[in-house]
Amino acid sequence: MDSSRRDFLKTSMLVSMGAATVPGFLASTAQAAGRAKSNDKILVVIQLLGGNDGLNTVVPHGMDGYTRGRRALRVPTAQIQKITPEIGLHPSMSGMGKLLEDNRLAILQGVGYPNPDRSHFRSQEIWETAKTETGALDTGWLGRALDAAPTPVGGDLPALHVGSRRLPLSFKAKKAEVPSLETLEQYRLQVAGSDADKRTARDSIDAVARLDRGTEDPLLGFLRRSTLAAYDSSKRLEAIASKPLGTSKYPNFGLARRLELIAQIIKAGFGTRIYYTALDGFDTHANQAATHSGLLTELSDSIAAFHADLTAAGQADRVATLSFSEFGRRVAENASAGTDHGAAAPVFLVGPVEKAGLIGEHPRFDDLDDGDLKHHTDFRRIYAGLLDQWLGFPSEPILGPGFTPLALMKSSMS
Amino acid sequence: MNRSPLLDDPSAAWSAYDPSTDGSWDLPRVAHLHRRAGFAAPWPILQRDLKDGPGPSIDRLLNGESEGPDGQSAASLDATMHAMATQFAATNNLGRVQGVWLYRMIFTAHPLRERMTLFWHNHFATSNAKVGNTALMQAQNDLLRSHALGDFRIMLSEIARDPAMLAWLDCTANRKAHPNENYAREVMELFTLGRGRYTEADIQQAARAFTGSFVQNDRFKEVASQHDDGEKTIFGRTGRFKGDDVAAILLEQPSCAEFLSAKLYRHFLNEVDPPSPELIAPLAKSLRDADYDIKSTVEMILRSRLFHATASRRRRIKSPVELCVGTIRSLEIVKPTASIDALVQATERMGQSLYAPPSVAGWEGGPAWINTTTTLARSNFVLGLAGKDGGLGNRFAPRTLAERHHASDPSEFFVNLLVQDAFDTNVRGRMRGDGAATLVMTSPEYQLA
Repeated sequence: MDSSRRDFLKTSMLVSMGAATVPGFLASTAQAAGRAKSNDKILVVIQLLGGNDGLNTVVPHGMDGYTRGRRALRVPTAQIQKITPEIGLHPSMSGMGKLLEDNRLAILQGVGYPNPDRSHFRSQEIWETAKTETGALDTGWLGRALDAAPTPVGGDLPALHVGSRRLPLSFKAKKAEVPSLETLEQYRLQVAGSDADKRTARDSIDAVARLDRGTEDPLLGFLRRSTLAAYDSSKRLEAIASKPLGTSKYPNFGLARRLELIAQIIKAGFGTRIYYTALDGFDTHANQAATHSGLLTELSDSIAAFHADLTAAGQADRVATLSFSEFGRRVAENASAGTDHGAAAPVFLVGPVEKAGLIGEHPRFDDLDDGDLKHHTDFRRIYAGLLDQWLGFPSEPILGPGFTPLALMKSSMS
Repeated sequence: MNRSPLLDDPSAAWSAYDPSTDGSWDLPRVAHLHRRAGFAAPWPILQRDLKDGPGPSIDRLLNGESEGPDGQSAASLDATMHAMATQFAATNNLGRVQGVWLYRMIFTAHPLRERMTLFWHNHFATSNAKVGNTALMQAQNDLLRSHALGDFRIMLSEIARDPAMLAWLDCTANRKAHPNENYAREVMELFTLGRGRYTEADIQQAARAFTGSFVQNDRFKEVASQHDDGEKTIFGRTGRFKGDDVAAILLEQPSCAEFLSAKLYRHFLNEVDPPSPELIAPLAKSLRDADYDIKSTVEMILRSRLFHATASRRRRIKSPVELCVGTIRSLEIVKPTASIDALVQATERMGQSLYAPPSVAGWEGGPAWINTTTTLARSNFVLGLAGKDGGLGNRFAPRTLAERHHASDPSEFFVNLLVQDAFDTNVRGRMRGDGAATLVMTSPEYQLA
C-alpha cells in the first residue's frame, strides 16, 4: 500500500473516530485534523517592499517616454529579454524569462488603485488591507478570507507567514491567527541525541499519544488527535528535510531559502493553502542600478528555482505565486541615479496561468499623473480572481463590491 | 465523561467542599487547586498543602505567601519586578516587558494575583501592536494587578481613563461634536454586559457621556469644554451623565454580574461545557452582594464542592502562559530559571504573546490554542527544558529533582507531580525510564488543566 493511501486511511479513520465520539463543537475540528486534498490550490505571495521600479523591471525600452525619463538608469536595449518589440525583461531576470517561454508567467501591466498614495506605509496598508479608505486597518485581505473559512482548529494551519519580519497586515484577521515561521526546526519535534536516540525518543512520545484511552473524554480525544496530526506533520517534514545535503537547487539568497522552505512544506503534503513572504530593499532613491539588478536576480532566480522544484515534485499546477510591490517609481529618474516614489507598476503571477506574457497595455507616457504612470487595472481585481477562481473564497464579501475578478489562472474550481 | 450531578443543583454546587463527605483531600485535589488558582506548584508546596488541608491552602492562594519559590520575600520580589518592569518599559522593548511579566509569574509569592492579572489582561484586552508604547502597556498592567482581586467598580472606572486602553480604542480625542462610540460599545459588549444586552441607542447616549476624554502626552485629561453635559438616557435612566455615571449604571444591570461570573466560571472551572444560567446565578448574586469585590466570588468558587469535584478536573486547555510558567514552577527551574528571550519565544510560538492579544476580544482560548504548529511548539518547549543547551536547557535534571524529594521511582514521582490521576493504566505503564518526565509533559493529558 503506498504511503498516500495509508495516510488517507489513517485520516479517514481519525475523522470517523471523531464523528463517532465527538459532540458538537469538536466535530468539525476532527475533520480539520485531516490532510489537505491533493488538488487544493495554493497561493504564495511575495511582497516586494520599498516600491519596486516597475519601469526597470518590465522595461518599455522601445517607448519614447522611457528613454526620455531614464538616462543614467536606462537599460540598454541590446541586453533586454524581449517580450514584444517594445517591452522586455531586465537582463537580471533570465529565470523569469525562461518561465515566460514555458508559458508559466503572466505580467499584469499598469496595476494600482485610485488616488495613489506615495507613502510606503500607507500604500502597503492599502495593498494589504485591499481598502483605500483611511482607518480600515483592522483586517487584511487574506485575514478576511481566513475568517470566512471554517475554523480549522486542530489541523494544519490554513496560512503561514515565512520570514522573521512582523506578521504582514495582509494576514491580520479577527478570528484566525497566522503564525510566522523562520525555519523548519519550529515545525519539527526537537529531540536531542544521535539519530537512533532521536528516533526512539520520537517514537515513545508518539506512542503515548497513539495509545487508546479506555473511556475517552471528547476534549482529551481532540487533543490526542491534534497531537497525532502534529507529530505526523513533523514526520512528513522530517522525511523531506532529511534528504542528503547538497541536493538543493536553490541559489544562495534569502528569498530562495524562504521559498525552499515553503516548497518543503507543500511537498510534505500539508494542508496550508496560503503562504506569504517578502523581499525588502526596493526603495532605490540613489545609485539604483546595481542594487536593483541584484534584487531582480534574487527575485527571478528564487522564483525560477521554486517553480522548478515544484515541477519536479508534480506540484507546480496547484501553486500560484503572486509578486507585487506597494508602488512603482516615477518615470523620470532623479539626480542621484535613483528613482523616487511613483504609482502604477506591473504585477507578476507564476504558475498555471490562463494566458502567459503581458496582460493589459503598458500605461501611457503621454498621460501621466503628476509625473507618474496611471493605473488601468485595480489590484483588487487580481485579488478577486485569485480568491474566487483559485482559492475558492467568494471575493465580494472580502473585497467589497465592484472588483470584477480577473481570470488569471487555469483553474479547475468546480 | 461523567457529568457531575452538581451541575444541576446550583445550591449544592456552590456550597463549601467538605473533605469528610465530598471526597478526601488527596494529591489530585491539591494539584487541581494549584493548576487552576495558580500556575501549578512544586512538590514541597503540594505536600505541605496536602498536610494542611483545603482551608489554609486556599487562604494562602487568596492572600499570597510570604516568599516566592526561590525563597525571596514577597516584598523584595515585588520591588525587584517593579524596578525591572519600569526600566524595560522605558526602552520600548516589548520582548523584555513580556519577559518580565513571565518572570513575575514564575517567581511570584501570590500566583492567584498574577493569574487574575492575566485574566483581566484578556478581559480588557489591549495590544501593544497598536498602542506602540510599552510604558503605557506596563502602566495598564500595574493597574490591572492592583485591582486583580479587588473592586471591579474601581478597576472599570480607572480603565476608562487608562491611556493604553484609550489609544487602543482610538479614543484619545473624544470631542463633544463627534462622540466616539468605540469605548462606549466595548465597555458594554466586552467589559460589563456581553453582546445583545444593550441597544444601539444606549451606546450612542453613553458615547456622549464619555466625551471630553483626551490623552495628551501619554496622560489622561478631561477637557470640560469638550464634554457634552446635556441629558442622556441610558437603560431607561435620564441625567446629565458623565463617564463614571455610565459605569455605575452598567454595574447595576443584572447582566453585568452574570457576564463577569460566567467568565470567572470559564476561567476557573470549565471552558468547554457552557454552564446553565441557573448555575451562574448564585455566583452573580454573590458578586453583586459583595459590591463587585472580585476576591469574594473567586473565593466562593475555590472553596466550592463543584470546584473540587472529580468531574471538574481537566475541563480547560492550558494557555501557553499557564503551560510555560506552570511547568517551570512545578520543576523548580528557578535558580536559574530559563532565559527571558527563550520564554517569550516559547509562549509566542505556542500562540500567546503577552501585551499583544489578537483583538479587543482577547485570546479565544480553549481548543483554539491547538493546531499543528502550536502543538509542536508545546512539545518543543518541554524538549527544550530536557535538552542540554539553549535558553531553556541545562537547568532541569529529572533524577536530581526526584532524588531531592526522596522519590525512589522517578517516573512515579513525575506522574504524581505533573498529572496525578490523569492517565489510564495503559498510558501510565508507558511512563518509564529517564525520559519519563518528558513523556508526561508531551502527553495530551498534560495540556489539560
